Amino acid sequence: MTDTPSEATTVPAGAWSFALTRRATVALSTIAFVLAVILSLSTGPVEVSLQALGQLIVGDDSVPARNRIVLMEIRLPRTILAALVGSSLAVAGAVMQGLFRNPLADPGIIGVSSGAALAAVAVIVLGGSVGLGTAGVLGLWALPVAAFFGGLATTVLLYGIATRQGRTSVATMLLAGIAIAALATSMIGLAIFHATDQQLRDFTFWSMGSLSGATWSKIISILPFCTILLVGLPLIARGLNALLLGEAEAFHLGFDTQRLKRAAILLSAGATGAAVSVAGIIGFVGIIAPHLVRLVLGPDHRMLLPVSALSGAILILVTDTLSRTIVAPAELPIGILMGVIGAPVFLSILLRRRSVLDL
Amino acid sequence: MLVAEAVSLRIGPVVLLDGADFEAEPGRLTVIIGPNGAGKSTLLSCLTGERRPDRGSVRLDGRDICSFTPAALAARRAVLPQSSNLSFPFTVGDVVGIGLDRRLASGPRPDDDILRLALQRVGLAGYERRLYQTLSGGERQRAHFARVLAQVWEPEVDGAPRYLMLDEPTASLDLKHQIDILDIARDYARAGGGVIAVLHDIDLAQVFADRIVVMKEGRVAAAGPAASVVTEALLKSVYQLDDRMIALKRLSA
Repeated sequence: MTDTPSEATTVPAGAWSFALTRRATVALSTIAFVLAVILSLSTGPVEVSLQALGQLIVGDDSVPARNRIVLMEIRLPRTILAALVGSSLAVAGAVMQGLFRNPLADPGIIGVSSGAALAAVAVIVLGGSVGLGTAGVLGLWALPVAAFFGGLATTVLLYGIATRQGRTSVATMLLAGIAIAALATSMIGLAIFHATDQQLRDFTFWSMGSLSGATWSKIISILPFCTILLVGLPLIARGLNALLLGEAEAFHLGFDTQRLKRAAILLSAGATGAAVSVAGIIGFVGIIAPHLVRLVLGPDHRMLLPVSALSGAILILVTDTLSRTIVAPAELPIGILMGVIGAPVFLSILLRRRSVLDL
Repeated sequence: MLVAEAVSLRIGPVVLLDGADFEAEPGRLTVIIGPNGAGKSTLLSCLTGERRPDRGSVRLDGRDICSFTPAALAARRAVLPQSSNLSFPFTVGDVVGIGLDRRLASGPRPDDDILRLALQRVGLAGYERRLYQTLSGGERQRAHFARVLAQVWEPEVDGAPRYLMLDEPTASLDLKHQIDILDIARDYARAGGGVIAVLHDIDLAQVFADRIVVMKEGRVAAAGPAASVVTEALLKSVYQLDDRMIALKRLSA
């Protein structure tokens, strides 16, 4: 029992080089993020050279007007939106995984995105008649607010179903998530059944996920949610670490578990709602990004949350760039591409953890 | 001084605690024993402040335990649960460090030293960078014990004693490590802290306890100095043992 630790089971680094790994990872992800932004801005039917990008940034007027319009009105909003959506989904996933104490929780998989999408669809359908729609009192924010409450209601419901006496059952969580997603999907289907042609187009966008149609106003509409998320994260990171040991343990360690859980649910639902309201359902980002970060940095939320936000942004930026170039001039919905990449990753996590998951 | 008075707790129709009285003094190792389902762990969860009793009160130095904030409580007591599961790849150092993250360990030593000393104390020196998942059951239990020790490393801070509350700390350990853990607990009490432990093994309890509290059916059946509380008559009535089993026990002892 007291044998010395063997190399194979040790994190392959001393304390000093682990700190170095952390710093290197943060630096590398930041560089990768910048590269992904440049890639997203310069790729598309209209080539924008790096030089032109630079000129635009410093406000040089010699760039052709067409390029400037493409960049300022199409690519830049899309790139910013992609980064916001990616980091929101990744962080929502990471927070939910901490809350459920399980690495397989993802807003797309456990039905939270579907709940958010259902609420958003309801606003589109009912909006006109009850004045809650985009023209209603909430204006620009009607969709994100609805999606937020949809995601919130789903998360609360799921947590209530899956948790008994402080223990969260993985199997119950996943199964309840499937049921909720199925219910939301058929309700969305019901809405589609009664939809006009134009509404039909809108709905397709929810179910497959897409960043086309990114506008500055969409960015403004989700910006408050993303800001709250960024401000709130550092406040719950340590609590989530303790929560991984169990709810009772987190309380013993000095955390107000009820408040912590409430904050985690609100933040993750808010992030999911914001992302879903502008980009529809994009699955697996919330699993892949935190999973990769954990492989390198371990599960400490103080590092996991910010670096997941970065890598989620990178993931969506690159996938979105791919989705609008591989079948150009047409555009593949990003949700489809994400599923192709994400499902195998999900399965590999599942296979590796089969023994400990106790399903 | 940690005092529980007439604590009752029921969940639905099931009575878990039925007017239990309890007290633990700093400087002493108080052991709770009793048959399965007697309410030992439930009483401990009331003492930790985790559950609020339906009736009765739990007071730490005269103040209602439920009126402490979680952070204030965590600075006064640490709790070792019966079992913990953790499905994320934390290192042992991470696990032990969670208790230190809030800088609860006010005292002269920097956190890193406490972490190292706590691991050393439970016989896991040099395990900081091992992954928790790769540990054996006994090692995990000791890692958690180190986490709990680290949380309240100094038995006394500014004259206020701190408490270790251990729910079957020896459950998955071999005999040597059972004794090691209880040695550490006793040393903690000798240094001025309070220790409350739920134990299954009556013999271990008699060896290590300063005071034994015997529970039966949600009540305290007997309490007093270790040497005088556990008698054959008590064993017969509390554990419902017959003469044959008593003879067996005497033989094995």
